[in-house]
Amino acid sequence: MSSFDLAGVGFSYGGPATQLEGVTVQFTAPEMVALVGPNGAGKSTMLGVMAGLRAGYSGSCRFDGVEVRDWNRRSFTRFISFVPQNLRLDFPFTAEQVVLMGRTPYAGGLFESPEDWEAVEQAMRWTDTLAFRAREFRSLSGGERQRVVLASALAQGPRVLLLDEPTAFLDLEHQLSVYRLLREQTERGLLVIAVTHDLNLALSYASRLVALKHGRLVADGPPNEALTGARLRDVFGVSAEVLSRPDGRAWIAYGD
Amino acid sequence: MAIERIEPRRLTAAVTLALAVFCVAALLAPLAGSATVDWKKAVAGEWPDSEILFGTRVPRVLLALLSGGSLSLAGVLFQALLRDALATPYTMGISSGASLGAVLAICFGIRTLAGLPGLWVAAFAGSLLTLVLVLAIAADGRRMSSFTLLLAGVTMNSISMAFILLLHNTADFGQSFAIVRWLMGSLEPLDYKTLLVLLATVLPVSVWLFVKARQWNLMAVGEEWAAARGVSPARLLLSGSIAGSILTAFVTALTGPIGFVGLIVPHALRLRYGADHRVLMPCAFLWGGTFLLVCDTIARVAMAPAELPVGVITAIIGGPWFIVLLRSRRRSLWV
Amino acid sequence: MRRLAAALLVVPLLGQTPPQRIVSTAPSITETLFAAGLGERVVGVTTYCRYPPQVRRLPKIGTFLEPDFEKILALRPDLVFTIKNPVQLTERLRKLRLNAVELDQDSIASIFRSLEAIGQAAAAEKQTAALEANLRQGLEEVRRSTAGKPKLSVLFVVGRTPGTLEGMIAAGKSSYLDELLAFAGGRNVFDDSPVPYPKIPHEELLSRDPDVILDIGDFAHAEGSSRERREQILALWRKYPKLKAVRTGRVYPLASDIFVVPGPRMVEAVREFRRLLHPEAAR
Repeated sequence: MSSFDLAGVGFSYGGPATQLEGVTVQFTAPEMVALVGPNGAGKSTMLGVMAGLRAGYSGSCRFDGVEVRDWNRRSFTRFISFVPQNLRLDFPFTAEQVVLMGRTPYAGGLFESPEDWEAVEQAMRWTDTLAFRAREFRSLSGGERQRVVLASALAQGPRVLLLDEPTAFLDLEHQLSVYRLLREQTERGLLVIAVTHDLNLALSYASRLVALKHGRLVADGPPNEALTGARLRDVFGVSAEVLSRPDGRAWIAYGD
Repeated sequence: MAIERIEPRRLTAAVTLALAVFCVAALLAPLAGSATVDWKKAVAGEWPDSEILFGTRVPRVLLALLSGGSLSLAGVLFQALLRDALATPYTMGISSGASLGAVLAICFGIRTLAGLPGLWVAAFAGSLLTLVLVLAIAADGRRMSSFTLLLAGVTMNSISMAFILLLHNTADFGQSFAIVRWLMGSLEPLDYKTLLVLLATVLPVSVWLFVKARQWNLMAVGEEWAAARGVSPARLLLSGSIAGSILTAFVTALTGPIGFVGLIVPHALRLRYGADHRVLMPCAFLWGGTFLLVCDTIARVAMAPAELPVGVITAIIGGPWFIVLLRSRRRSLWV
Repeated sequence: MRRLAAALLVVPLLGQTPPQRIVSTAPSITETLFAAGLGERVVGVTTYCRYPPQVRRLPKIGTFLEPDFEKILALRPDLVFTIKNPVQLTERLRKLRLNAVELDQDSIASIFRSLEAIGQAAAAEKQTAALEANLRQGLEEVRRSTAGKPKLSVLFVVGRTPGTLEGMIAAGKSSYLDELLAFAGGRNVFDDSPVPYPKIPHEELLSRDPDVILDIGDFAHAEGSSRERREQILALWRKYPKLKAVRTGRVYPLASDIFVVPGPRMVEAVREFRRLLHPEAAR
């Protein structure tokens, strides 16, 4: 069972300010975690540490019992996929080529193996991107691009998906379709951890919510328990009310 | 529905075409020239026909193919590494470093160094020194990124150019003419030993770059993107810029800076074949060689018996052709 | 400052006294002035001027492409000679209210025309006419002595990439050297070139196979003629042992600026050519 085990994780970019401090938390697949917090709370930094992109962290961050920075990068990226916030390309790669890049951790030669192609096909089917696989990535709409990037991450055949604001630039319909997709992946047994600013989406789709403020962990639990009006005021500095829907799920009403 | 898996076939088709044109050009180019050559005599080894064909035209054709190929391949590589569509083999300061070395050799009258023409040695040393400085500046303190690399390259470029201008100002008339000539760049019939050394450098470096093509794809997207797919961007940046610089430095030491090849050939190929470096890199080498060969052949015969600087031809042909390419495809290069 | 400007304006206007403070902006002009016996009046020359030797002690005004206008003004010249050039030197000097006269000295005919212009401007017609007669006589003497001789084909290399035979620039059609060679019983092998100083490919060198090769060496050092340097140049040419000039030992390294500075030393230059091409005609 894939699991992340963070104990006292800290990180700083070299200045006096710390981005992350003493974060202790465990994640075990399958679950879908929403990572929330105000700007500068350290969400992306924490995701980066877990994805092995910030090797200079302090404390201990283990994946499957092995310290992240000690993992062989190639094997590590067969288990962990990282989805960046907004991918901009300088060169005319096609959607399919972007997805194919997800198979690099398995590369044995210059070309993709039949297994690679199967994984790519499967990932593109999940994300419903096969229809424009030959189109140039830069010519796609924002929602299409994000699905292609997601497909590239899924093509890695990961057990963990780490996403940095996967729906930041999408309209409502595409936001929902991405989250639906992430929940499906969770149901397949993956550990999904997504940074998000949209608390209502977090409430609707996540099975667990983790909140950071000033680099510290301030809340952790099922979304409707972890999010309370008091906590919203405390963490985000906004006044809001958490309401209960007839079906038992929660939603947030903002305003004084 | 199984999707069509086209990559290897696309590569074969593209490379076959490029190789065919490359070979045809290589075979035809020695036939052109300002002097008339009797082929029977040339093949029979009679002087001067044989010397003209095998002593001047063939080595020059080979030099054009190797330098054009190297520059265009290095262009593809640096554009990917620096993620800058306008990067050239010279963006890292390699050619201005080479030029500074050459200008020093001209101004101090160094004719031979280590048994080789002093200009070559000085130019090569200049470019390697620049490379070391650029890498040292870019790697200072935090980890090297393509951004710091680009900045360091641009900085070294202007420093070298400043020194060149300074030396040019203090040079006497003949030296200043020689400096301008060198900065224009030109192809000369080199002896076969030098060509063999060039080939022995260019070939393994190019093959290595081709084998790493999937990594360059990742680097062309981004450093984090590459790192999240199990490769080390810092290491690729370092090894890639060293490899590209070796290609550029070797060629530039022998020919002087020749513009445009490293910019337009990669872009033309990207418009035609897309951005996959597995197709792009071998095609860039082959088409780059062909392009420079065609330009040099024109430079040799256009104003015979005088010849033109090949850089003038690459710019005159390359510039407009590039504009046509850009306009004929409605894709934007720099979105 | 105003007085200086006024003085500059007045002198040429008076027109009576011949100009006494002459600035030369090219080596060829300097040589001409000295050859015509006007050297005493020269007060400024370029950094490239080396002949005759006494000019080395004269104040320098920069080069003809980058003259130092302040220095020129400070010398208070009443006459400045310029060579036709792309930086509009003459116009700029005239804007400074200097008496600037433009000359053209890139062929034998234009050198003679420039002599007349110098004579007029400096009120020294007698001296320049004497020099002209002298030069014409010298040229004529060389031409007569080589008249019956076979015309040898000559390659004159004016520059190369230092240390190699590459990047070779030759004297081409209607260049000054092309004319001088004709006087000395030679024929420039590149007299069909479309530009005066073409870069020539090696195949042209091989197929034209000149009788004589005159090599002024690489660009880096036009001066000095050590034996070592001569040896270096000859060693380069041994790359083509079958070339006629190499085979017959008629590759001559040259080391003098008489060939690159068009001017009154042209007679010296054609005599040197005759000595190399037709030694028997030189007595």
